[in-house]
Amino acid sequence: MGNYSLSALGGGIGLRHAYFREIIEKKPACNWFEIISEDFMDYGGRERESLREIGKHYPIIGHGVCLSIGSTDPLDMEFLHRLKAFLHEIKSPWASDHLCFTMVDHTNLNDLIPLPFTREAVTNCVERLKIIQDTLELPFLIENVTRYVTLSDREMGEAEFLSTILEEADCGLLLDVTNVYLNGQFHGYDPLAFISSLPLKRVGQIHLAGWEPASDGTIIDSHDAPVPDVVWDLFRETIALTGPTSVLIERDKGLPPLSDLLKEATQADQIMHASCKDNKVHAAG
Amino acid sequence: MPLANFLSAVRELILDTDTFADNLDDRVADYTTRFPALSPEEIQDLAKITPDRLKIYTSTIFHGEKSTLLNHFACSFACLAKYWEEAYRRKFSEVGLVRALHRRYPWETNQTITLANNYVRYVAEALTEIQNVCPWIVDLTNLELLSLITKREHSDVEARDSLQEDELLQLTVEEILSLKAQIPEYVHFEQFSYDVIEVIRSFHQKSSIDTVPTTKNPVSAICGRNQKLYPRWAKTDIRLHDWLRDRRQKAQIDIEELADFFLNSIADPADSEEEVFILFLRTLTSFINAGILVISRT
Repeated sequence: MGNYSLSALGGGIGLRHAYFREIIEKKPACNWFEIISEDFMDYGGRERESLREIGKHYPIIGHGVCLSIGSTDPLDMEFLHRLKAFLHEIKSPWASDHLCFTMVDHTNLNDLIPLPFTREAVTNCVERLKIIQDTLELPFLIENVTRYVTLSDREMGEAEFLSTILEEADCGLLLDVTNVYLNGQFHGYDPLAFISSLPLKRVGQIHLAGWEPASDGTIIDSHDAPVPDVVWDLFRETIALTGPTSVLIERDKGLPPLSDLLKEATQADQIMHASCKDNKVHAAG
Repeated sequence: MPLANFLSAVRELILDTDTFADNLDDRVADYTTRFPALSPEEIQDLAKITPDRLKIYTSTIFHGEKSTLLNHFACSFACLAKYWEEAYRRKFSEVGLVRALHRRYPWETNQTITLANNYVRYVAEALTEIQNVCPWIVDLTNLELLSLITKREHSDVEARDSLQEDELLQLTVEEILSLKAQIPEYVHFEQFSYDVIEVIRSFHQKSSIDTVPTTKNPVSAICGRNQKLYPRWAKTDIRLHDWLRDRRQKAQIDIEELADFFLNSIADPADSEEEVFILFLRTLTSFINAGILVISRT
């Protein structure tokens, strides 16, 4: 058992359509897969059937992008009930989504827009997270997002904002180590100090990803490259603080052969196990 | 609720703002006029954000929507790219199209199908000039939309549940006529003014727009999904199209009844009975292969 009373599944990868056939036919060794729930939940046909087949052999965890936790539009309860039915159908042991807003004024922004770090935004998120958790009846994790802007930090900083919501809503943290690293670069802070300041007992899952700078040099959290060494280093230090958990290699674009992603998942496993072994030696010493 | 006003202003800056003032004071003045419900502190917060950082979101949002649409409307996008300059005397921009679409029909749900519907509506209602050059474009977007819907529809029965072509061909005429069929829930019936089925077939083979209709040529077609669950279109005689469409809610269709209709309404009276039956079998197997009819094995 890992943190936040969730199973520590070790390294896993994001399940993408391009890998369905190979996974179904070859059943490669992989601890678990994460899916984007909205890519499957309302559909029948090939996607849903492939998911059903893969779910017979591997744990599947549902990760969302549409709950718009920080929005001021009313929570879409009908969507939430459909999501619940889907997550229970695939036997997802927990669920997650991002601490951000994606819809406002009933308009879909189709991206994870960060929130202003204000008391009002905290209260709004906490109220909505309680409803979400009560409705889904599953442990629920919120993910820290990459943010290219700071909308407001007059009242508090990001770490305080995130920590307060985690405590007041009593939910878990999906700690995206890459996002922390990139935000550290964008906003000039020490990523490890940021991570250390969070309530790490609430970490139920970790995300790792890589990026390719755009042609104009802009860095975007594009999930289109292997996890870079700087993020592996930060992960090594993070896992020593959190203890064992479930670690996902995210890749959405420039998909490599499946075996490449599985190698990265194995690397995450090895780092996690080495860290836990070291911790035991230190504890015994 | 002040937070709602603040988030709304962020949305407007990201989605609907083309130009920003270069310096902070000018942005404060601009935002104060545009967002009267925000406090001076909130205006300062927004004005402090450099426009190039906000534009990262604008870019990722519209590139993301473009990718989503390209996944499902690759053929009509290729048509737009091919004929745009002739229609509008300027270069085609995929992202520019998506921005214009968003302005006219904002994406109001978190579902892809809403964006897809908006795109089809936008092409039909806003892109009238290109319809003069490429009059089949509206039919084509409708076909792509129906393919998407068919692909994702829930269904209790699938093409692979059906008696297959090789099994059918081993049966006697009497055995074939005694069979029962079902039209799965995912099946869609449509009539097009132009033969866009051939446009899309050619596009899938060559990845370019080579085959285009030169004149109006109404086509009746039915979309199912094959054993691998991919959407497949079958062109069919209008009378057969309508006969099947009118029976789509029925739990079962007698193959004998279908054969009778085929013989009496569609077949050429000059053909021999054997020729008609071969033609009927060919039609039946095309429906089975496209998952339009699922024939019970019992």
